[in-house]
Amino acid sequence: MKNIIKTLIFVCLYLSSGMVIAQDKTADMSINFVKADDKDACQVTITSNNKPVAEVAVKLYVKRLFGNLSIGNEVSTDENGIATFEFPNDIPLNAEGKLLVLAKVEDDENYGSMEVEANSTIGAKVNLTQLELENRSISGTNAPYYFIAGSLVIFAGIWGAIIYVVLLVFKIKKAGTQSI
Amino acid sequence: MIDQDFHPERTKNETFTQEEYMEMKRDLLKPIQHIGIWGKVWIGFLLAVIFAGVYAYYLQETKSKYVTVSLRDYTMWGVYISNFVFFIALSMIGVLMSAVLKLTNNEWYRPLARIAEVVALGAICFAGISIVVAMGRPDRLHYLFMYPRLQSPITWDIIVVITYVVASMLLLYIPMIPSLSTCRNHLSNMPKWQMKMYEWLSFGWEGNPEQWKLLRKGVKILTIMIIPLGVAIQTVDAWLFATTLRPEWDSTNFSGYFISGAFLLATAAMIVATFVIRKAYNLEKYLTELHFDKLGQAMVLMSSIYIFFNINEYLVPAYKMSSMHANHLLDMFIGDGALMYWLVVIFGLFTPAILPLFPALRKPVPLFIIALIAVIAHWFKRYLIVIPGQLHNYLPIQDVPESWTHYFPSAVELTIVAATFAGMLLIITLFSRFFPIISVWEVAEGKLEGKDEIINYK
Repeated sequence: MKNIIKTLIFVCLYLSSGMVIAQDKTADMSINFVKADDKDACQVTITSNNKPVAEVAVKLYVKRLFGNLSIGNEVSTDENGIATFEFPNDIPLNAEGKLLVLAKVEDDENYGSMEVEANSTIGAKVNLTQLELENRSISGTNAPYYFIAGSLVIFAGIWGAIIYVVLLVFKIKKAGTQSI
Repeated sequence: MIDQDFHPERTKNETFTQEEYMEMKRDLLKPIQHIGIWGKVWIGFLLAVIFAGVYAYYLQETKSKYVTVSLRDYTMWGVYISNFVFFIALSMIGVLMSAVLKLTNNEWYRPLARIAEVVALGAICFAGISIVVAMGRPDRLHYLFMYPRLQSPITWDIIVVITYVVASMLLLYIPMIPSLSTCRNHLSNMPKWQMKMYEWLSFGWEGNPEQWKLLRKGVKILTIMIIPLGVAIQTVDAWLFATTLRPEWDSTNFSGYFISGAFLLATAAMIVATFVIRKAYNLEKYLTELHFDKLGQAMVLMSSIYIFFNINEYLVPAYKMSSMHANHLLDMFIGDGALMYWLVVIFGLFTPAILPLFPALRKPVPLFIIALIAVIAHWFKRYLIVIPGQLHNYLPIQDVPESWTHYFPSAVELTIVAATFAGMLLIITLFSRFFPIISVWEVAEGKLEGKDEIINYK
């Protein structure tokens, strides 16, 4: 019995040490953007010692202002070491017309965690000035045109009447002078 | 439709029965000619309070605000804001007396109109000052004009307050032009500068038919315009609160609630002002018991409307008692704020609604007492609207400093608030010392038309 336990402990230690050694394995990760069937795709390639690594789960993200936007579900690399993601073309690009794309491998049993970044130009180009102009809203910085126009009409109506009344006061003075 | 006000033949009647008119002029110009010792003491007292307020403001702006005012992270709008809301509501007095009564042919408005306009002007000026005093960075005041955000109620507030000040000044000044001419022609033994002032301000008034026609036209435009302006100023004031997400202010009912409250406060304040001016200047002949009787009835009506809005404002959320509202409502009904809340309900809502139903209590003295108590209660009503709700935090926070969870205005804040009242009263006092507080021609004109309601002027 003791031997069995010793053997089990040895096996456990061996396996865990093997994992530790395995996590030291290094892999290279790269991101490519390709067109497949008229659709944009993002290919994440993982190689180790220039050999493709299969069956590694990869997650793809796009960096946004307050966090990372997940693109599709987790995809595992195929026998060529490539994980292919369908890449949407409607994500607003940043002011420089780019998106920062992140590919992540999280806690892989052989390669641990890895992360690689690449810039993409696939996405919706946004003219920021246009955005500001068109995104006029009650809650925004700039008021909608109808709001400005409506306010000005009311303002002009009231102040027009006030100015008219002030002019009437001057007419009163004139009316007095005329009768002398 | 023929506008009778502009009918040239009617202007011929402005001459009035000479003897009666002269007597009326004498009575109404008397307060300008003589200032008694008590008048001087009163002005001195008001000036002292104002100087104390100016010094308190100096302290507030030069020392740390954390030390000088009681405002903290929870209660960021304190007594300055509630005082601002009170003054805004008080400014409705001009709308009520000069416009609503006039346009509904309630002829008894005539001797009250100018008193109301002066109170309105004083109130709106000190409402503006209250909001500046409340600013954390008054040195950035001009930013409000340089970088306005049109969607913000703060911007609307600035626009509407300035507009209302200008319209109120005109509504005070234009009907006063004939009175200024009267001052110029009939006052004697006055300082030279004062006579020059009457000369300049009377704007070449001779009382010819053309001038009367123009004057009436101007007054009519302003009278009509001041009603939507008055409603706008109360509404914007209400929206300053209602457009926030705080549950105790999150109400679609708020502008109606503010407008009806303003009308009630305006009526009560009118009674107080009429009583004091009547006593101070011996104007019993012009500010008669009829006015108190009518104002008492108006106060019952206004109180009833305001009670209705209060039921909407408090009882509907209380029926549901959602957790959002429960904190605030229970605090008001049975908690820390209960004493003030119920005193306000009793003296600010039910007393002015019930007591003036009895004709004996619509006599000047009892009505003055009821109205004065109601005015005080309505100051606290604004305090209750603005402050207690803020003492509850949105989200549970640990280790909240003790001083955040309660608010009591500091000595600096109370001194400044007292000074705003003194300032408003000083405007009214000085105005009544330099200008006829009752419009001679409007009273005379009313008498000429032989309306039953003003028959007791004879």
